[in-house]
Amino acid sequence: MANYANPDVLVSTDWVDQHKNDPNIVIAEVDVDTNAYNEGHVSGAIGWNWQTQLCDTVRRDVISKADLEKLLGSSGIDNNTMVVLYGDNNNWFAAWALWQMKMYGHKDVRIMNGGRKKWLAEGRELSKDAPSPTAKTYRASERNDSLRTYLRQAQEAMNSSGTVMVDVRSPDEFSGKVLSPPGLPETCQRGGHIPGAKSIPWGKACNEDGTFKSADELAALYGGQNVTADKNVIAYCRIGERSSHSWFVLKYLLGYPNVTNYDGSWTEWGNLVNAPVERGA
Amino acid sequence: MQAESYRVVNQEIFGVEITVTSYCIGERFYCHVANRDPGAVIARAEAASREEAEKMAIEKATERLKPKKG
Repeated sequence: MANYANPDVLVSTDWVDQHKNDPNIVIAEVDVDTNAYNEGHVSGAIGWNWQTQLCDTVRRDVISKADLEKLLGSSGIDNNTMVVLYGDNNNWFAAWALWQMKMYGHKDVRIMNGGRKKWLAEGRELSKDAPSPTAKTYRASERNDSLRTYLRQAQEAMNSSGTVMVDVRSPDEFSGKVLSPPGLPETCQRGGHIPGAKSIPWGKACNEDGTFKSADELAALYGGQNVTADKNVIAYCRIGERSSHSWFVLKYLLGYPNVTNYDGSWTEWGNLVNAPVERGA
Repeated sequence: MQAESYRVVNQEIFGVEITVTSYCIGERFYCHVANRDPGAVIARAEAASREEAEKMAIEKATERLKPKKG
């Protein structure tokens, strides 16, 4: 796959079509639009709801270890299962799910390149049947927070020459012209970006068909803004899902060693009292 | 069963660039309207024909994108 640093983290739609009935593989669809799965999905794929199943629904946080173990176990996944994730919007929330699974130590989790969009556009087989997987026992590792940035770390990083922050939201969100993407609720009090952050919208990493751009194109995209492998890189967006997509690109496709996702993102920073904010392009 | 007649059309509503994606699965047409950047779905609809599904989804999106009065 296009000379990526870790090509094994991606599988093609063709590969999924050929392996969708393999009992050692679990395919899971995670969509931004939580209704999409019910329209029809890859035959045998389970559906995970990011709003209720991939987060802590009481306090703002990622899924707990216990809930992840329950979710994966009830999905027919054990610690040795290969999990293939895909979803709408070029795999936004598939990447979000992968980020969390990696924090809890799952070894073999991959993304279907191009996601739901490519599968549908190629006219591949769909099913409306919800699978009933045989439950398995899943034992998650303690959460590895080295893949994550918290507010305090983001504040410290702002003044560190060895760290670069990448704002992956749209240019209008970055500049402060809008508080949220058109049609979505405004969830922050102030617009703009973290001082010093580079604007590299997540979608620039994708081709028109939803697949990831080549390693050379990705290296030029990030390297052109001095986001390079020798730095600590922190990706952020509005709520942490678009930035998990960019985190995946930087960490796995380009192989940068130190990349984290600041999932508090702008809905945290843009609501802080007396926090520094930069406006404009 | 598969998605047939998959189509993506770019449009604007109140100056906001949107994509209107529609396709048929089985006997139903599905349409979803998303903002072009970042691509999040604003409205969706399902109907017996593409025209009907698009009309319903665009109406919902128009309502959501209507400029707020100061």
